[in-house]
Amino acid sequence: MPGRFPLAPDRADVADNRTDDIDRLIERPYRAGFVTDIDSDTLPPGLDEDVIRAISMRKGEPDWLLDWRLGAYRHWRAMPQPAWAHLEFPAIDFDAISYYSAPRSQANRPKSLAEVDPQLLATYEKLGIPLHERAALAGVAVDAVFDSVSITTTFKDKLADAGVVFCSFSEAVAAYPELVRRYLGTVVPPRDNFYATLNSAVFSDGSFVYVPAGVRCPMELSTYFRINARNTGQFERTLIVAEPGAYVSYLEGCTAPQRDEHQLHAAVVELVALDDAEIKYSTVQNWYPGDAEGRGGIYNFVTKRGACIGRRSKISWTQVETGSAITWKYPSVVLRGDDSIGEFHSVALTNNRQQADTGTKMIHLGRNTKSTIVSKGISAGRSQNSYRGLVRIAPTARGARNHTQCDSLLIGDACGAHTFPYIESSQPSAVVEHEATTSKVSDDQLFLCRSRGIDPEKAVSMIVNGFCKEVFRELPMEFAVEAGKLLEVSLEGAVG
Amino acid sequence: MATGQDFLARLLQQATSAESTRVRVRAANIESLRDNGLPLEERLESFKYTPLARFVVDDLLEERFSPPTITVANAAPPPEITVEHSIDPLPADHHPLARINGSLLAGVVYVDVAPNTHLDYPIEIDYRQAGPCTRVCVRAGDASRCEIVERHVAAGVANRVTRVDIGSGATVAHRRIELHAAAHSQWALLAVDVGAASHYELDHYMAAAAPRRSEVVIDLTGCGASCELTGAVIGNEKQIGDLQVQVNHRATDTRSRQLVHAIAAGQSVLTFNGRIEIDARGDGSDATLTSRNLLLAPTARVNAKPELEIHTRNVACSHGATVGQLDPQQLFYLRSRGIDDLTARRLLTRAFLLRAITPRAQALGFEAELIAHLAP
Amino acid sequence: MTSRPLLEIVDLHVTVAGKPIVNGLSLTIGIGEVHALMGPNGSGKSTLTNVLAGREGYEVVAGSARLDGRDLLPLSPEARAHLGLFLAFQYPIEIPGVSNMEFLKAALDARQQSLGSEPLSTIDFMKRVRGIATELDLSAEFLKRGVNEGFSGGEKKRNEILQMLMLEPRMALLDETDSGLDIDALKVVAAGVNRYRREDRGILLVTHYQRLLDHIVPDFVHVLAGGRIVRSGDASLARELEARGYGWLTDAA
Repeated sequence: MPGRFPLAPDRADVADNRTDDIDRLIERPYRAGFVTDIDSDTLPPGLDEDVIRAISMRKGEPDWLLDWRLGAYRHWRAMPQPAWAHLEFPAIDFDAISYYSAPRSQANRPKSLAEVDPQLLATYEKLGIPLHERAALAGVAVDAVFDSVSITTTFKDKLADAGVVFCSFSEAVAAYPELVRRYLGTVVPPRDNFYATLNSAVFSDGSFVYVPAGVRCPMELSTYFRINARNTGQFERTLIVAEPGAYVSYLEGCTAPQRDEHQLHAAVVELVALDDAEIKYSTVQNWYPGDAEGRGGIYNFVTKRGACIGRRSKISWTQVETGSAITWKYPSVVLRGDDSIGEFHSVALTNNRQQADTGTKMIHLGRNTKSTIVSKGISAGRSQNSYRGLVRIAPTARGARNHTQCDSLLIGDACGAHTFPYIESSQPSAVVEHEATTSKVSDDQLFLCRSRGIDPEKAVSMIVNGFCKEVFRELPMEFAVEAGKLLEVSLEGAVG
Repeated sequence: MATGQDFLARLLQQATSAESTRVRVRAANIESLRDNGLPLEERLESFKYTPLARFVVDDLLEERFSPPTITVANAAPPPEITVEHSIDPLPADHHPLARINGSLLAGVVYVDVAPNTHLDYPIEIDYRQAGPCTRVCVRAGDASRCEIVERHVAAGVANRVTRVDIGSGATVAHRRIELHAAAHSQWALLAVDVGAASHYELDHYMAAAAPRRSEVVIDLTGCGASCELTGAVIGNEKQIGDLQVQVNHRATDTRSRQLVHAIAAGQSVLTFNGRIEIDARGDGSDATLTSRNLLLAPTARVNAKPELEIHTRNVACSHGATVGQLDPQQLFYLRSRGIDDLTARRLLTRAFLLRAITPRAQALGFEAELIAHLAP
Repeated sequence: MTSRPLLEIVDLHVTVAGKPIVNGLSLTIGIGEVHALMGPNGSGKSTLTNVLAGREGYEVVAGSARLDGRDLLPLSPEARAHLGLFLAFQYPIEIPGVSNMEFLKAALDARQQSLGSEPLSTIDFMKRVRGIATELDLSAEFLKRGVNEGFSGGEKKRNEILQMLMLEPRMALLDETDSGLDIDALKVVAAGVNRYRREDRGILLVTHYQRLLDHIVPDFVHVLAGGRIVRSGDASLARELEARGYGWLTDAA
């Protein structure tokens, strides 16, 4: 074979002609991997009822919420950890985790940005999320969650003018107790599953959104989750309620420091859409994925579910998952209202030793309910990437429709790409269609790009971006660009 | 579950009290059952829709050891084919229901097709007189060509294991129908090993029962091995049918095709699980699966689960699944030509079934038998 | 007409899966020259162009190939492109989801970068693509579609020419760009190639038939048989081949 030369370290000017040994890796640092050195109030590791009481007390919660937490905890103790996912990891020692950590400077709940610890502001600045409104991304309000607490929420006043409530979950418990009590746990019950039940017992902070009837939220809402403290789990809880005719678009981003040990993140997100309401929920997940050998990284076990309660309501999930050592996540929609719509658009990229078992559940109960699933899985390095989905058509769901497109792209010979779709239909007038394909970045495609002067890394990233285009289109503009870049960074080194 | 424990105790008692040659055949499976029990309490993913316990029934313990009859062109097999009833000890089986099978067998029927044999007539395996637990192993020698026709039509409960081992450069066409005995629990496992450059063709038709579960595992172990599965599952009344197919690509340049149509009428529940697994040795594999499901009644239910598990890059792999009803446009077209609704539905249902019936299966009369099962 | 060599191939031997396909081929293309390489199926034409562009699966056993004096063979495909080599593929590759526009921009940016120049502004880039696309009778909608995704045979070939005109290579290898084209499409493609033809560039036309050479008149014609050039001449050789076939040459080879 002509021209078999090692890849030059700087440029691929004289390069290996073989494009098939793609999994030779060049490591690049994870860019959000820094640690903020800050004085924290952290509970000692371990979990018992006292820890739950301590969390609840620190948050000044009412008794009903403490009881709710304790009920979940007592149930959780008897639950087995699920083992059905296509994931391999050592048993998690739940007593080695600290369930609460908050910067001391936040103890007195700063009333305005001026009172917020500048070091925290600098952290978000460094992550590209300036919290000063004049520097902030126009049209996006941000709730910044640092370990177990919310630091600040921007553009609150502007949102209040429109009647939209956007605040930290803790604040909502104090300020809007009836709303929280009415909806908390209605979509993801406290005994739903192992990780959601754990979250129900120990959840710390997260975001609360309430959009009143007929209101179209004037800006994008966004929460940025940051894990900072060592040996600490993050257990946020988000609740979004859209009253009849309301519309809201919500985004979340996540990063964590680069550490050699694993950290647990077990969140719960509940969405409620009433008649004619629409909620668009987008995630760009970039938790620390661990190093090339699988050391460190976040264990991401998340329960996200939306209830289309109202007629003609719509919930759409869009996710770009590039981070975490393990991702276990199935954003779902329960389509209860007649003519309601559920969507799931997903890009999951795994590289090195990452493992992802992700997908969705679409539960059709109402008449003429519609769901669309587009899943794009990209496996590189020695990673394992699984799509797992359920489409259930209940006997009541006359005229329901589902279309699922599930594509896998393999880059590298040592990785795995798997598809586990469950289809359960009990209604003859429903139409369910599922398609799945598996392809690779072909040597011919790479050669074409290279023969036009495009270097292999750029070529692979172009091809992968093209593969994901359908999903990126669903993201708000600024985030679509971010997602494309993130994909590129996550793929760095996936080509030789 | 007390009943499970009882069953196990009685099974072990019966299995070990037989004459010594039989116990010798069974030893490894008996030991394995004694050590591990039966996983009746566990929630097994592969038994999600039809629980394992449904196939662990007392009637299996009936002492009747008749093997199926093996004939070629209605006569004893010609000299190129040897049929032997073996009482050599069996190794322990992996599948819990196969372990029950292995613990109750009187022996295994081996059908050997000599290398280079080209058979003009099919090898017929008939279960009409067979006892509840049977095991047949067909071994097709290198460069042989043969056809197997298997009719599972026993009257009582059934627990059947069939193996087909195909050498290299051989072609085996296997036509299989599982019918009748709607009132009894029926379980069958078909395990196939396809050698280098060999081709295996499986026409697999089944009617649901109370319940009926059929598991097919095809291992493509030789380079260039290929298989093609065409099948249909039909259910009526309160029947349950569960077809589980797994095709494993374990060598380079292997190819598989699967097409399965399911028709659920009445209050039946049909499950199809089609799994394609390509391991690291399966470079250059090419696999497709199509699962189409027709729901004829609002009281019927279909579960479809097409799965892919892929561990190497250089593959071409796809699957598709649909669940729906008869096409209203087509129905309307037929009716606008004066055909009544019921007849139009029958025509379209039959057309749906026909798309998954091979010409050879039709010649064997399988289609007619399946349609008869659908009639109210 | 002998000028400084642009592409210089000396005694090239290539095998594919151990089988010799090109057997001691030598060919020099001077700056400003258009050469046509003709020959029956299996004579090694496509092997030659693929080897020059750096496609894998071919083993160069001996010989050399230089572009502007630079040894091509050890270079990666992209490095060869950066030096100004261009292959118009016989069978253009489909890349679903990547739009033609995006693909061209990336290729052009990479070229600009290798030349140490600034990338073209999006506006200039668009102007240029649109202009060239119009000449090739390709619609704006065509530019938005995935690279060769669902293109007709003729569209794929015109797309190759579009890329060539955008990238302005020094040396273009056109591998059976005429195959599968009707006469109108052939004229469009030929006009594109003639537009590209300039004193400082070279072209190697690989073709079966005379018909392309009615529209693009070569300076030299070579006949390839059994992996080496068995006859060279001027444009009249192509006409002779058209009249007499290859037999009289290949039988001797």
